[in-house]
This record gives sequence, structure tokens and C-alpha cells, in this order.
Amino acid sequence: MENWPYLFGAYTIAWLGVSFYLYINTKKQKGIEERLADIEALLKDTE
Amino acid sequence: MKFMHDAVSILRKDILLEIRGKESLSLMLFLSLLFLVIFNFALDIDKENVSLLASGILWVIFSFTGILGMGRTSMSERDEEAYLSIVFSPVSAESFYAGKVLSNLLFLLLMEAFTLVFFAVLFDFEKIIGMLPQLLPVLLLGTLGFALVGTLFSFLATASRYGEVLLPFLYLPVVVPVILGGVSSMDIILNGKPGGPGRWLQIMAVFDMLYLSISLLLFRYIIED
Amino acid sequence: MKTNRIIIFLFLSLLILMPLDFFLIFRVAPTERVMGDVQRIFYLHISLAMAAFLSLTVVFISSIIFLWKKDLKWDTAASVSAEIGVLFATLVLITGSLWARPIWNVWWTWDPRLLTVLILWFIYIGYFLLRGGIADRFRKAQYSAVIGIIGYVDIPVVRYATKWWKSIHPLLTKQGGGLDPVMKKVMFFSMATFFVLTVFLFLFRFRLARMEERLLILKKRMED
Repeated sequence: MENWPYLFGAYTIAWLGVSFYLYINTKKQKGIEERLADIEALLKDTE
Repeated sequence: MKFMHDAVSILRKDILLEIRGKESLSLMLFLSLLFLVIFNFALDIDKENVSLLASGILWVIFSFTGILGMGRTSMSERDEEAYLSIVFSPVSAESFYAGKVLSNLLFLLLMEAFTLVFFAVLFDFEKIIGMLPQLLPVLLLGTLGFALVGTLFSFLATASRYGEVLLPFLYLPVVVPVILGGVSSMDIILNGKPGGPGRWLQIMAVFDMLYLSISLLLFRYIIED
Repeated sequence: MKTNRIIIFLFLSLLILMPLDFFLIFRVAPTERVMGDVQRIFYLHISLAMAAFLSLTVVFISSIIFLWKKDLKWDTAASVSAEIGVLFATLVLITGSLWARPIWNVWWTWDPRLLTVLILWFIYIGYFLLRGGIADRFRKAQYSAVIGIIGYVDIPVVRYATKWWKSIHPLLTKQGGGLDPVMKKVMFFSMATFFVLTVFLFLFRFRLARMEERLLILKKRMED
């Protein structure tokens, strides 16, 4: 197993790449869900 | 028939504007001259290597100068809201596109002819002028590919805030097959490499036909909002 | 809320499929004789390439449907899919490079397949640059649909032209007859896993994009 850094490097980077993509989008989703809830509550009040 | 008539009248309008204003063609000519000077410093061209370097240098100049020139013409079209008149006039989006391609093709070919002359003079490479008959199909097919994609994209990019920078970025990756074909077939012709340029001419012809049909289908979506 | 349930189901199945896929790749698949263990990058590399290609196909089809139906939903689908496609294409380039270093002794080589992926990558980066620069929602959708179609059509031409130029990429299809049957099965499983991953990412990101759009609409209504 002489070339293991390349092998594990490839799998680690791919895994990190997809995880990071999921992470930022989950964070974004949380922010949007909160703001949506706020606005919907506000709209109900005004009605 | 009306299609061709409209396209030719667009071409005529552009030629008239060019003669009066001399905007994009003179810009392209000075730019290509400047490129040649820069390449001279960058690559240290001499009698030994000029024949090997020629096709690469020329196609880099053709593609960069060409896209900047084409961006210029559509930018002015957009600024003056001239394209709006097509929406109201009986000229169809397709014939407008065909006319713009023809005028871009004409200006690009003129620019290329000047560049070849400059190149022959500056680098003492008269051979390239003598080989013009063989190079002509390469230049025609390659430049048509440039004009087809460049016309479409230059109108697309004008809508964007980053228009001028974005245009080469969108354009260059798409025309890679044309650049590859142009450089390779010119290299084969200039250096008498085996095989001949036939296959490359075929690839460029396929590219041209493909983009002609797609652009005719898609151009209306760029003009009509 | 049917999509929510599908997204959760896909996520849960990925929690099982992913570890299983890694287990198959590292423990079950036999070691290749010539290249050694590094060859195991193939299972990842090819699955990623398949996922990238799948995403860009969705971009192409959604772009056509958008121009036809003029429904912004299809533009959202196209842009979301392009994002995932760029993510996978980037990973394809990185994993390919990591494989090339020990085997070909270079990080990068101007091989047709590498070039095709790289050029595709540039085209879809341009797709997002174009989207970023246009304020009008509908025009943004229409213009990027044109790029989505043209970029996809460019793939076979670039592929053919660069192939005629030169090639050293290993052709797995030609050695297909000699490929170990266990290797083939593991490869198939890996591709299936990444297919599920692609669908999951797409649905997840699509739902988010729809939420963003609803937020924008509500905000506008608030201002009025």
C-alpha cells in the first residue's frame, strides 16, 4: 500500500466536498425557515 | 427570400456604420497589432521557430481580438436600443441573427487578413501569404464558427453587469473545438505535416452546422424579453 | 409535504448505502495487479463522473422545458442541478488528479477526457457568472437556459476534437472483457449509491431554492 495518501486523499476530499455543500445549505435553510416563519406571523397579524 | 433580404440589409447597415464610425474594425486591427508586438517579447520569435509558432500565435490573436470586437458591436447595438426595433419591425430574430453573423464574419475576416499581413511583415514570414489559397478554407470555417457563437454570446453577455469580462469567459470554452481545429490544420499546412488538414476541416464544418442550427433556434429568446 | 418525506427517506438510505459502498470498495473488491490499491479511486472517480454527467443532463432537459413552458420552476431545477454538476465535476477533476500522480507520475495531463471535463467545468462556471450579473428574474432564467443548452451540446464536439488531438486516458470499456466480475459489481453498486446521492442533493437543494423564492415573494408583498 505504497500510494495510500493519494487513495485516502481522494476519498476524504470527495467526502468533505459533499459534506461541506450539505452543511452550508442546511445552515442557509435554517435561516430562511426562520425568516419565513417571522414574515408569515407578521402577515397574519396585519390581516 | 425575405429572410435573406432582411439579413443582407442588416449587413449593409453595419457596413455603413463601420465606414462612418470606424469603431470596431479599427479597434480590432490595432489590438491585433499590439498582440503581435507582445508575442514578440513573450516568445522571442526568430527565423528558426516562426513557422512552428505561427499558427498558435495567430489563432490566439484571432479568438481574443475577435471576441472583443464582436462584444463591441453588440454593446453599441444594446446601448442604442437598436435591437428593440426588431421587435416592432417586420425583421425576424433569425434574420437579424443571420445579418449580424454575416457582418461579424466580414469584419473578422478583414481583421485576420490584416493580421496575416502584419505577421508576414513583422516576422519576415512571407511564405504565409503565398499559402493563402490553402489556408483559406481553414480561415473561413474557423471564423464562421467564431462569428456564430460570438454573435449569440455577445448579445447574451450585454444583459449582464459583468458583460465585457464575462463574454470571453463564456465564449472561449465553447469555441475550443474551433481553436483546436484552426491551430492544428494551419500547423499541418504551414509545416507540411503528414495527414493533411481534412479531418480538422470536417470537425470545424460540423461545429459550424451544429451552432448555426442551435443559434437560429435560440436567438429569439435572447432578443425577445 | 411529500417531498420532505422522500428527502428524509433518501438521506436515511444513504446512511446505509455510503458505508456499505466504502466497505465493498476497500474490503471486497480485489486489488488490481498493475496499479495496486490506488486503482480503488476508480470506483469513486467514475461514480462522480456519472453523477456530474447526470446533473448536467438534467440542466439541459430542464433548460429546454423552461424555454418551452416559460415556467420558472424549470429554471430553478436547471440552476440547482448545474450547481450540483459543478460540485461533482470539481471532485472528478481532483480525484482524477490524485489518481494520475502515482500512476502517470503527473498531476495533470492534457488528455481528451480531462480536457472535456475541464472545459465543461469552465462553461458551467460561466453559467453562474452570467446568472449572478442579471437582476431580472425571467431574463436570468432565459439567458442561462441558452447556456445550459449550448454547453451540453458542446460536450460531444469538444470530446471528439480533443480525442483527435491525442489520448492516453485508460479506456475501461475496451478492457471491459478483462475486468474482474467482482470489480464490475462493486463499480455498479458505487454508481447506484452516487445516483441516490445525486437525487437526494437535487431534491434537498431544489426545496431550499423554492423556499428562497417564496421568501422573496413574501418580502415583496410586505413592502407593498
